[in-house]
Amino acid sequence: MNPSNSLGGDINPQQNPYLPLTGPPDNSQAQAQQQPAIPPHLKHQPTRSSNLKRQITDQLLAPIDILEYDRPSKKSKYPGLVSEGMDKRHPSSFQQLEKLGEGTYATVFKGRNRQTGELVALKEIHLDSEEGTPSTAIREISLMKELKHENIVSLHDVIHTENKLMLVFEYMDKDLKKYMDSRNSGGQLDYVTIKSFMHQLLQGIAFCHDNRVLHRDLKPQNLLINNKGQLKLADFGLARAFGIPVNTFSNEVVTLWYRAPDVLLGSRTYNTSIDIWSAGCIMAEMYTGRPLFPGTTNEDQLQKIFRIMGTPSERSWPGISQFPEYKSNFHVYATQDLRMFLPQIDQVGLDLISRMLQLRPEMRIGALEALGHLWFRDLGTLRAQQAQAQAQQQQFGGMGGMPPPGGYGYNSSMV
Amino acid sequence: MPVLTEDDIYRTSTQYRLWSFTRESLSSLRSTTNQSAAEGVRAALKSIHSQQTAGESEGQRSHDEVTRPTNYLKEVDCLSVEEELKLVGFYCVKTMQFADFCEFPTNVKATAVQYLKRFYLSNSPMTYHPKEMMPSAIFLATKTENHYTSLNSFVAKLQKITAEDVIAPEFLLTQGLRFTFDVRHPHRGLEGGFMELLALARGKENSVPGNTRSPGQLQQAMMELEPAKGGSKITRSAEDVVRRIQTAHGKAKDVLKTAALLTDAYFLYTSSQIWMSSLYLTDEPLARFYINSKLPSPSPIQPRLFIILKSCADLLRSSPSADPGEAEMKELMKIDKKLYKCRNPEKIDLVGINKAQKREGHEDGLDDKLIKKRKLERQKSEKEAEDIFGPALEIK
Repeated sequence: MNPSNSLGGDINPQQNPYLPLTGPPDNSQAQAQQQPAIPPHLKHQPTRSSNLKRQITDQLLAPIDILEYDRPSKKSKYPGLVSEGMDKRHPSSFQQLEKLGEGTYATVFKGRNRQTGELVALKEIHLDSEEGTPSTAIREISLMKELKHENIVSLHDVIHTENKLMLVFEYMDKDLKKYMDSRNSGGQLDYVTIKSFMHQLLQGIAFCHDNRVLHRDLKPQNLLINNKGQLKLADFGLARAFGIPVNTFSNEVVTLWYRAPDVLLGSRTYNTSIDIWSAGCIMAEMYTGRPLFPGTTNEDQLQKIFRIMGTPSERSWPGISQFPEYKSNFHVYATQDLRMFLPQIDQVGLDLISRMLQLRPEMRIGALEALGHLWFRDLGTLRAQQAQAQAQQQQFGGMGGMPPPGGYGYNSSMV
Repeated sequence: MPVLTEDDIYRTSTQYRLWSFTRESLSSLRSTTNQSAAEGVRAALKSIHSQQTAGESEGQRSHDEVTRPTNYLKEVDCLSVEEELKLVGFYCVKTMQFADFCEFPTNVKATAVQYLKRFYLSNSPMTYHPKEMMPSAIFLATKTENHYTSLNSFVAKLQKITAEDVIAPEFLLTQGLRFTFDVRHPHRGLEGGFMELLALARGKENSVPGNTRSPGQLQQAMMELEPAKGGSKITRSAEDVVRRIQTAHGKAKDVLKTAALLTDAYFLYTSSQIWMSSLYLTDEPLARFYINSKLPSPSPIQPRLFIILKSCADLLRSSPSADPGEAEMKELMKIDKKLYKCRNPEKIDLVGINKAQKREGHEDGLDDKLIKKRKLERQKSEKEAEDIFGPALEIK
């Protein structure tokens, strides 16, 4: 059981030490208490006539009135009453450190749990007084409470005070984008790291898909890395649950560069395969250090994809002409060999990425199937070798300034 | 890599971890809530009374102020668990009508009802009146069920409810829900199950491991099923079976839209148990056939499953009406009349409480950063030593 769930409800033992009233109850309140308990409009409750529909409509127009007593206006009777003690968890239980990033609906800070010293990421949601808690935040909380997996960033706690809502996430050192930029290699990662990250990325995706959740916004900035070499999916603000039927999705999701061609073509019935396309793009980027399809507009994005993957036609993709964004005058490119763009990739890896970067969504490999791909078979051996090499390096004074190559086996106590 | 089964996945859900109970634990949770709320009411009334007395002795009270008789406090008649349940149940019905009126989809409606039911496991109507929580529950459900409606257009559909009325209880509600908003409904499973049934009827399905019957044999067996209770006609053709399935589908869907929401089914059974029970309730032979096609007998699970389905079906059958009659309304009014005298006066004005909280956050219009800095400094000294994580509430 989550130890931090302190309810504001009647049965929270921590709750509400009695707070004295600071203002006298106003007059109208007292008068109301003298009034007959049954208000006039309830005394002649209309009999249930055949005109039931009208009656229901009346009730619905003011559904809270059906049992309502004439109570005086809702002016603050107890202005001093605040619900202190309702939530024992408080922002002050975390020391706020530097700002990590600013999103559309939140600011993220590094923080430290004052009690345990544990580092956390504090996502402070800007509460919109007009709409209450933003629906993106509600959705992210909703999904993160369900998705507990080692490759999905973990939501420790939700803290709500005054007009602030704070999500407490486990701390991760950097996102994949910054991680790549921090390597003195033009952003390219080494073979073992790519393989390890891809495996973890696909595990996180598979778990989401098993739980019928689409991430919809996978990109290097949303993949977090810690100094143990773990990769975790984050930022589920755009994610949503899916089921049958899946036909009313907005097509305004997924950052352009990692957006699947079917979404770019205006499909609103996309499915799990959109996350796989993004994963394929990310895999390529880890090899080259550069985005594979850095489009600037929807159209440009499609063109950049077609230039490499070939322009699809009704023959290669039956039904493509039915998509809203399909244009019969798409520039026709021939399919190119992906190897030309990924010179470092091995044959087996090429096979995997080709299966992920299929234009037709139904041809794309599923996350679980991808995890079973031959390319991952030597992952365990490679990790062990790398750990061993690093251990040796450390033993022989390898504490020099270079960051550890793959992150694996990196002794976190050194940080 | 281990493959997760549907059961494994369900067991990780918050619905299972936080919102599933045995009948005993559910009822004991409700009595605890009821008792604490009653104590809260008595304490609050007592304190108001003593303040009023104090005020009068200083000669500051006006004459028309009410003074309660001293023995009033001892005799304050609080709601019983049953009365609380009836009242909350009524507002669940109202929630459904309200959602229908706004033309919200079934999942919004069903989620909003469950929010209310979940909230009132740890809160009493004596503390927070369900009619005040209801608009907020529906609004929150539009956010969590991907049917977000702006607050303005939401409020425009309602009379006598302001935006503030909707927003003020939102935090209370999210807290009472323990920030778990995902509700697993049986509707999805029902659709999938009926697709399978239709495929079976058309001879297109379906062999599960261990099932030796061919699609044709399954189809034949389906035609020979005894009729559902009340359904006198014997099915002769595949088309008859399809019609039978469609009838059952409609009826089962109705059960999920009403009885499944208004009873404790969600607290006591899994979503797949609920939809299968709805089929069991509407067409038992069909339900038995379906389960047989999945778990060919002899299977150790089958008898256990049928016991569960039967008990869930009994619960669904006992559901309060989604359209309360005159007698029920009379009783509800009696309860609400009683509630009027035993409401916790500290918690009546949610809008005021909410405003007060916001004022706390925005002292004197100082800019946010300064407030934050000051608050942090203040809290640092005040709360450093405080035990932050209170003991968890054990609800299982």
